[in-house]
Amino acid sequence: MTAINDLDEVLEQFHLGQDEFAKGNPEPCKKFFSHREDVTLNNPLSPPARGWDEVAATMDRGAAPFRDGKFLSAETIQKHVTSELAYVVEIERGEAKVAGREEITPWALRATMIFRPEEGTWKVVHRHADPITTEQPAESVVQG
Amino acid sequence: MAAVDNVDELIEQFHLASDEFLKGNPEHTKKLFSQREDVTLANPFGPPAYGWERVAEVMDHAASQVRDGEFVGSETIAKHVTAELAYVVRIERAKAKVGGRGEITPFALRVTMIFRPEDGEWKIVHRHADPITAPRPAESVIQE
Repeated sequence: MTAINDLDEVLEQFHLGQDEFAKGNPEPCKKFFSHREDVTLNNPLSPPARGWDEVAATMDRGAAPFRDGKFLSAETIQKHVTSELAYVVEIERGEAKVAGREEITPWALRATMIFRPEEGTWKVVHRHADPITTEQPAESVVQG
Repeated sequence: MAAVDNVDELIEQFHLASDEFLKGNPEHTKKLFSQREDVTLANPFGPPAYGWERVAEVMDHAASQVRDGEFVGSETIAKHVTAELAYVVRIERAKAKVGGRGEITPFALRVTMIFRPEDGEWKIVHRHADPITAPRPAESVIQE
């Protein structure tokens, strides 16, 4: 089996990619995703996307409303690595000008990311991120 | 492949348990989760919970918010099974009386679940669920 580089290193680089994402540029983050047909993305702004073309288009739309931002921190809640799959659960914090807003505002996401070894590195095969980092009213599930 | 069959069986049991959950009883669902310290739950009602004790509390609270419901069905978006870890990405559809609402209302969740074999039995080690099944405005990620 091909040696796989360290997941922590990949995560750190992904977070650097998110710094660019918060400036409206999705390209560095895209490099960390698997480009295969079974890649999936549940981002905070769209229903699930499947397959690289759809995932890439969803990332383009996701980055477009963000300007002048930065990635601030990631808090790891859980991380589990096996030879064939790995996952991490984390809270990600950043700040940006979002959509029509002129002021820099903080954002926070809770994210699950699942990785698979592809060509000697860990690639994101699934990312699920939403802004639920505080208590929500129960009724919020029927308003989605 | 046996591992795949067993994951499918766990998912099938999860559907039956969800039917009880939506009537306010979380006990069947709890039995399908790992009860170890690294179990995590990112449910639609609040921030991620980790460790069995906290995850069980969060499930009790969530179940107390739903009544007279039933599990309607699910749509699998991705599924990947390895010997040590497996995951599924899907949309779950249900209906229930939620929170303060007196009427039975349909709702949908997009879900990531991660499974691990423990003592020869597949268990849920992570569940991430939110109600984002339609496009949302970028401002929804702002933390206020």
